[in-house]
Amino acid sequence: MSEKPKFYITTPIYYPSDNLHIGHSYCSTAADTMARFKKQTGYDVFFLTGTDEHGQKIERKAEAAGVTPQEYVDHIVAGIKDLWKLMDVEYDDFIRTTDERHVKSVQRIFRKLYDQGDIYKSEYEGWYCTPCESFWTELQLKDGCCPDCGRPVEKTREESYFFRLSKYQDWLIDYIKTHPDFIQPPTRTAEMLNNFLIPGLQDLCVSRTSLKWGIPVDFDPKHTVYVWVDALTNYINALGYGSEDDSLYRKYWPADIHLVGKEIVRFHTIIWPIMLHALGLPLPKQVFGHGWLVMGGGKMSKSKGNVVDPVKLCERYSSDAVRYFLMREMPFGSDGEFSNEALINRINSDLANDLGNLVSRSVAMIEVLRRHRAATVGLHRPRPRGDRPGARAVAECRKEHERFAVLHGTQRNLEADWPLQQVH
Amino acid sequence: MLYVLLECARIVAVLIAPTMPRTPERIFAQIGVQDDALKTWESVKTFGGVVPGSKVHKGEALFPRIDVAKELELLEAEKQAAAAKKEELPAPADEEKTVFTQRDLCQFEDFEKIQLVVAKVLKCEKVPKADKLLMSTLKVGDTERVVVSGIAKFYTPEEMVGKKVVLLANLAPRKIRGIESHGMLLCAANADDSKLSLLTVDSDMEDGCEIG
Repeated sequence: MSEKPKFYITTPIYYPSDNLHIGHSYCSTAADTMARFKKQTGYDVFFLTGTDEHGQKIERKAEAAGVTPQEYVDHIVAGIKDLWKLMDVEYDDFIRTTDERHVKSVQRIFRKLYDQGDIYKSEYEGWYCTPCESFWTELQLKDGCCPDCGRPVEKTREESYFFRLSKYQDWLIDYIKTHPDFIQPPTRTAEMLNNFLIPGLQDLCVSRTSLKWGIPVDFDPKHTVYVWVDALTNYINALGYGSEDDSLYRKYWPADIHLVGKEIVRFHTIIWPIMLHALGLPLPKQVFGHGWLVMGGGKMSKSKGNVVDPVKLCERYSSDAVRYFLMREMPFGSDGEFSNEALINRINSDLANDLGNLVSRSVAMIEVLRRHRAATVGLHRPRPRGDRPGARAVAECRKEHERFAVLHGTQRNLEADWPLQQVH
Repeated sequence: MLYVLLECARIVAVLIAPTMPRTPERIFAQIGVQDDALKTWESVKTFGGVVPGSKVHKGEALFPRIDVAKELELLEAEKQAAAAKKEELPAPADEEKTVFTQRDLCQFEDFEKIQLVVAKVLKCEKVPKADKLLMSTLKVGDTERVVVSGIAKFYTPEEMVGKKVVLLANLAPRKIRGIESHGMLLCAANADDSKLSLLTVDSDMEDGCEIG
């Protein structure tokens, strides 16, 4: 038996500062749908998801709740796993940035980049609020004072580690230009080049001394690894990169698709490729930035309070109906609006009327006319003929599926499937 | 013909499986497809998989129809009950920073479609039986028009009269509570709409002046 081709797909690791909303479900459902389509069509699939658990916001949330940060995230992560189970999101691995395997790997990577000179120690100029013991950048200040307590701040310098983004800028511009499929949809390519790369990259601050809830830099432990190296490397750490057993890494890397929200395309197409290149590793084949699920014009967001609870929707309408709606309603890559009305209308028109009636009426007619048999006397399996309406529609439909194979079974595929039900 | 219908149902069930993992088995059960080989991607490459003579079983509706009006009413009631519950809780002490996320870029031509003007409020009254709505009569140069706005929790009709406000003038008219509203007053609002403020002009400008 010949070996199956591999397919490695990832979602972002979500930030468990609060329960997830339907926007996260959208991303995970899309990734799960692609993974299932690839499995169906004969690929050896590895589907990774997870959670990005460090940072000040979680530290504070935990403090407010009177628990340790680890207890706080453990609770939220349990809820996230329940949600994926409810929504039939079947991942192969769930990486948490508090996993020991991840922590060790982040420290190894940080040290390697430091040893080879791509990370260096310097000073980060900013503003310090003594009572709060916090550093702030110029932009974070509120009327020139501490954004937390409103008291005056002092100009100060914090020792930090920096990653040499600037050194690799020309290489990345060239890479993106010669790999037009790397950033999808293509409009995001121009955005990255014109807004960030061509104006020039600055070296990136990759550690903080003010951050306690995070991974310590093992050779200089008063520094904590900041989100960039911590979060982005999850995609290789989960596969055991650099560990004793890196068989999954060797089998599945590079990723075929990183599916991400459009707001984090920048980190995945600028910082992450440069990090990989500096480590001497191949780049993911594609970063796909999907649109936002908006409610009344704004992105759904935990801090805005306009969220829709996917658990409730699934319990009320079934997970298949919610998954169908998410994949069908939104043109993949663009924003789409969520409303209860749109969801109910989709269920009624597509699922109850089209699909439901095709099945129930066909079966009912056969029960009455043919005594429960698909075909008896006088009703035979039709010879496969290209001009038969059913056969023709099926062939077209399959072709559409293959044409949109990059988007594996999402909105356009479903759109293509539906006329099939109107063939009589 | 009946055979074609069943075969189409089988193929649709295979094709939707990545998106809807639970529904295909329910369809196969009803149309009498048992053989796993008829549930694969390979199997839909040829038409005519359903075995003639296989037994169908009418089952329950795959997706029962939902009464839209009733359902929306129910959801709204639940939402209000949840909101009422939330109001009982004390407001969180630690205000989060306002999150600003830029939307997709638009071109100048897109912006040019929008006509913003200075308007003066001549008259203003509450919309009966609506506690959020005010109906304002505006003077825009040599014309007058009526606009309904959801600002009654923040402004009284008396306060409104005489204000110079910013009007989105060429918004298609919409009926709000039976009143045709010709445009929209621009406001700034925070995320949960607990704070709201009308836009106005910095120095005294004649109503009818265009903004751009």
